[in-house]
Amino acid sequence: MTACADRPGYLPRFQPQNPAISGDDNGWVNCTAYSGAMAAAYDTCGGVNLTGEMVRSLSSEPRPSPGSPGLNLRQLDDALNRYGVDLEVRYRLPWADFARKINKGEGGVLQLETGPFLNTKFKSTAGAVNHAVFVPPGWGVMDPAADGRRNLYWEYDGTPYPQELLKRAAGRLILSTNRDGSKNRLDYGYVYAAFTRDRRSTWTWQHGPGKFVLWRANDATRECTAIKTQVTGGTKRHACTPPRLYRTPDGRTKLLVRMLAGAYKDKYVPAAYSEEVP
Amino acid sequence: MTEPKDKPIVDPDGDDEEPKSGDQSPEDEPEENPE
Repeated sequence: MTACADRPGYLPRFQPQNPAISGDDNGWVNCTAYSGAMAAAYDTCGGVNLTGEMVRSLSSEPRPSPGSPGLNLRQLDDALNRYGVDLEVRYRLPWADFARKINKGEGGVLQLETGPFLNTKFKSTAGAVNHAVFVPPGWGVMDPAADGRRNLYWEYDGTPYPQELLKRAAGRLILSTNRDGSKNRLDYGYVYAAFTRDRRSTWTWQHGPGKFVLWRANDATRECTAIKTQVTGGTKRHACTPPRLYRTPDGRTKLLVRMLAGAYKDKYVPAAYSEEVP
Repeated sequence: MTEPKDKPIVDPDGDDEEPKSGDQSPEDEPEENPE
């Protein structure tokens, strides 16, 4: 359901990242922060009004790293947590699930590669680059680079984007670059996205025959520790919390859910086997 | 006699990469044909 049940159709104010407009010297590398700022406003129905520059300053890299000045979704979630905004970060989520969540009223910060936009009216970047945009219900994508500069680029006006265009761009997200310059990309049909809160869905978890790791986690510090590898012949389906990101002691990130019932009650298990019940 | 060591817990689900957006500016000129 929409974050603003009492204000149907509420949309945040569009925030361009362009330093000439935003006044943010680092604006051009802050697409994730600007998209996140709009997501935070949407999530709270305008209660949390941050600029992209402020979100950047709240992140673990307030000063952009010269070698890699952007932000990832975990960093965005961590930054917004400080203002009570808890995004649901999902990696490799099937496109159909992304579309379903947007259509039912959630907003999403979507990571993508802009190549598919370049030959369309929605072009907002000179080249094909990893980028982040805020997708509200209605698909009027709030691309922080879509400021209409020099009459060369798209200017945000709320026009819905074709879903197939977004799907192609999301699937081309560059995950990493190899030494020879070749790129590892996410696959067509999958997304990396961070959603605003959903106040209606419940979640369940079930694992088929096989192995998974049981985790202990702290929801205040967002740290987790592996307890043991569990071998199962298949579990029953039980209620769990929505997925959240946690950090392991060696700095890796895990997307986990906490079991609310069953044999693993209060243990944390991999979110990959959870299912949203709309 | 050697003492047995704890076996490390190997996560069968592996780790996900966490790409950044914004490493390149929207104003950067294209290097290649994207598609």
